[in-house]
Amino acid sequence: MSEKISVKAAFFETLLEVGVKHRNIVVINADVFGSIKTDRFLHTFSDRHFDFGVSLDCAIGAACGMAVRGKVPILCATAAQLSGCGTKIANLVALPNLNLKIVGVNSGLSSSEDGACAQAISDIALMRAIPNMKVYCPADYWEAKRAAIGMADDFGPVYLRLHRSGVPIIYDENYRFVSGKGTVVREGSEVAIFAIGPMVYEAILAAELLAKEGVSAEVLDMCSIKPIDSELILKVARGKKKLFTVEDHYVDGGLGSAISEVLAGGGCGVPLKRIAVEKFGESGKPEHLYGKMGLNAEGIYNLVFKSSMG
Amino acid sequence: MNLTELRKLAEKIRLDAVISIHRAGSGHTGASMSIVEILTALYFGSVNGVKLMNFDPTKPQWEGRDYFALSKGHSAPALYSVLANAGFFDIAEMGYLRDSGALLQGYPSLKIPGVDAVCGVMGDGSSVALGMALSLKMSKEHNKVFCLVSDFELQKGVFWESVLYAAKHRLDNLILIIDANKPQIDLPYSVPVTMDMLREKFESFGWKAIPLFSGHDIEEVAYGIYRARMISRQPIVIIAPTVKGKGIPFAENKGSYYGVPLSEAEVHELMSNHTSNE
Repeated sequence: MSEKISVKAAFFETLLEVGVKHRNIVVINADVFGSIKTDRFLHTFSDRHFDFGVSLDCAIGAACGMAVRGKVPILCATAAQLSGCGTKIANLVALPNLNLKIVGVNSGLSSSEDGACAQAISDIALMRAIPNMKVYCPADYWEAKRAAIGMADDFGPVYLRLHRSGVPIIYDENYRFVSGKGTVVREGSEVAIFAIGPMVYEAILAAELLAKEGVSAEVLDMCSIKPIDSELILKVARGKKKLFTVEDHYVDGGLGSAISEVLAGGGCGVPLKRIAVEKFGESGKPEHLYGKMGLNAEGIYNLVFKSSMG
Repeated sequence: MNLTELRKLAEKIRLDAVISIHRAGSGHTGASMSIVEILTALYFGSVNGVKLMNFDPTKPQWEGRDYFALSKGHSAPALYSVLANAGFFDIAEMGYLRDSGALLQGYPSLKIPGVDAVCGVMGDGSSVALGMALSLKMSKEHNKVFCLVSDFELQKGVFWESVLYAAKHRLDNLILIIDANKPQIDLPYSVPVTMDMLREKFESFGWKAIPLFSGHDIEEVAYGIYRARMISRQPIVIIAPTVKGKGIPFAENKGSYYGVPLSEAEVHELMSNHTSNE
């Protein structure tokens, strides 16, 4: 297995880079820098860094005030805390279409030991429903870096969802992130697995296991959940026996829902199975918890194999 | 503009707001009335020949302007009336208040010339003003940020989060004005403390508090704002006791007039009172 680096570390590493490029970027930290090993932005641009502690409501408003004045605030908070601020984000950030970036760290089940309250598994559904808001969930180090740069170069509100634990590197430095575009990470002809975040690597492993059993599975990384790559989804779906979505998010409202909407709208009759979190979270080691929810290579393999046989 | 002219203008602003709410068929009459004098003093007043707020209606995005955030967004008709009378947009827009596709939506939006702050829901305006003040300090600019909040927004946690943060950063460019108009829809009071206790609370947090006797005395409000502009190294709060529904005799201090338009007969009564006073 290749080296594991968290997308969170990749993002904070890139923060300095985007801070140098865009002099109007300011970082609003709602008590998440402690969990990050690199705080180079803070040391380099101490006057462009504001700590709000856990007063996230105030931090969102203040970030909006700065955005109105032409700054580009990057608001960093835990995805779980941000999930509680949906209406505020809709009213203050998205309605006036402010150029403000929201970064939700420790998303999905990655705050596993902390239990249900600390896990952010409804954030995609909340953010995706807000007009003007773009939603990205990177799968590895390079994708996180490129998405962070893409987000800073682009205008308008973005929600960047970052997983906590390390994930193996899938891409290399030549990877290009384009908002609204998905990536085929493994070609296949019989079934297709759409995944996001840490689930992309697990889907690749599952596809390898499936290949050994003679099932050819295509794996797609849908980092840009909104806007979503409808063209690619419909193109891939044509000719497949069955489609799957994998995400560390509630089964309703996330990637699976987004892809179902595209398939239904495009009149595509290929059946889709959504592999996602179907109940409230609980405490446990990440690998155990992901395994229990069927969100690992083995779980995906079992489900896809069973479905494609039936 | 002298005091008599300011008072006359305040009456015009009041009537324009009442009539626009009445035409729209919905809106917050009582809540808009209590801030008329505060806004008139802020936008049109001057002390010793110095304007209290810098703005240019022909250039709403002028970099030298002072910023204003209406946290109590439901009082928008009063602000719209002030902005229209200041020349930011045509007064005829008031005739389309709250209509679909109209410039003047129920709550202020950034599309309106002269509006700098999104207000979201109750209490959010204070945090938006805080962000503006912080970014001005960052770029070492001397513009002021005024934020008008209702006393019932003090029930929100986000308000006190902003109060603490502003004190920590000694934001002397942030001037908060509390419209203490007391009764709200379901309660006979908004904050269960006296004005003195409120002043002490702010002072204990490191704010400079300027308590007023009345938020309807344009001269007193103007001097309060003038003093606030002089304070350095701490954020400033002007506590202005006001009367909900001020200027409409039958609606004053009545929670029932807080969020409704006046009837046809009530508007006529108000207009005839107004004409006979002139």
